Amino acid sequence: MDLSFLIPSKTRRTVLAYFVANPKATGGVRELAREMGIAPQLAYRELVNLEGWGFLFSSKRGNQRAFRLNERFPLYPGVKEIFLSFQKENNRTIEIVKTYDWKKLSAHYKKIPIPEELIKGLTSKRTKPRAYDEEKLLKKKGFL
Amino acid sequence: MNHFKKELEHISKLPLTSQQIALAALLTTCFKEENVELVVVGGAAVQYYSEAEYVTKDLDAILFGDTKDIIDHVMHKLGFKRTSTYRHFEHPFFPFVVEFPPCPVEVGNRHLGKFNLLTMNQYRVQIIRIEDIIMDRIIGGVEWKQEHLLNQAKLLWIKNKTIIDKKYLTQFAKEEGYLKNLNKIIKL
Repeated sequence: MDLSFLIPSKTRRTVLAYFVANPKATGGVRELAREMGIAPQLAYRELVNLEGWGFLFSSKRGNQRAFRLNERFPLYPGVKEIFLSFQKENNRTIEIVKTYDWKKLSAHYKKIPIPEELIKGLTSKRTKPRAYDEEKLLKKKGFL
Repeated sequence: MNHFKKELEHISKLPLTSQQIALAALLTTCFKEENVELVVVGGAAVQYYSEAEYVTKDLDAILFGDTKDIIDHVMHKLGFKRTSTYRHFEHPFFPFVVEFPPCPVEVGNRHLGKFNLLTMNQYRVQIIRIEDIIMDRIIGGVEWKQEHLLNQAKLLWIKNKTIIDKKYLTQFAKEEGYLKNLNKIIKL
């Protein structure tokens, strides 16, 4: 999962993610582009854009510009939170607690009787129709 | 394509519950190839954990991963089409629809990351735990005042009380504030 639905530009996502992960980073365009793994031209355009918004600062270092994060940028905590949440979501793994053989489980269930009145009360009468026209669908397929 | 058609034809000839499990397993395999995990939740889980005393009309499965373009790709590969309302997928072989509610799997305030694995011959399906689906039905039943959901919780308890992790279930109910409701069901 990535943030493309929120930030369509891949370069912008890369630059933002880099500064969220390295808030103390500072460097020239070529240096930062190398670390972020993107082309210097793309990095330059995005760094300048983000400086324009106030997310980054730049200062002169010799004959080049060095960029660094503006941690006081009002939306920085929110941006950081979003990136960290996505990182957490992507690291989420599925753990299997128990494995059941359905045939054994089914044989076990068959031995357990259920009161008739409970079986009747397992479904409700719909007050609203289903999102799809169930009857039409089943008729179309020949199940009704 | 033919391979899937044959497999789907074979699955459609199985009894209804086995059919749903086998289809969920086939979907699991197809989504896994795209690095997406599938977990069966909702009514289908109640059905599997109760030997079809309750029969659901849709198969709810939650997908973990980057699914934006993958859902359509996988479902079309298998011959499923979206219904007119877009949320559900239907296939001419099956009398039920498949729905993908949004991730994560949530019950009460909990995000779930631990599941059970259900096996049936060569089929493997990841499924919400019995304890979690019981809590899901209790919370739904109490909050939406739906008696049938509480009845489903009772059914699941009766059918599974010898294999349930009671400590986990009680702790879950206590943390969410539904211990009284759980106790009512346990003391049937």
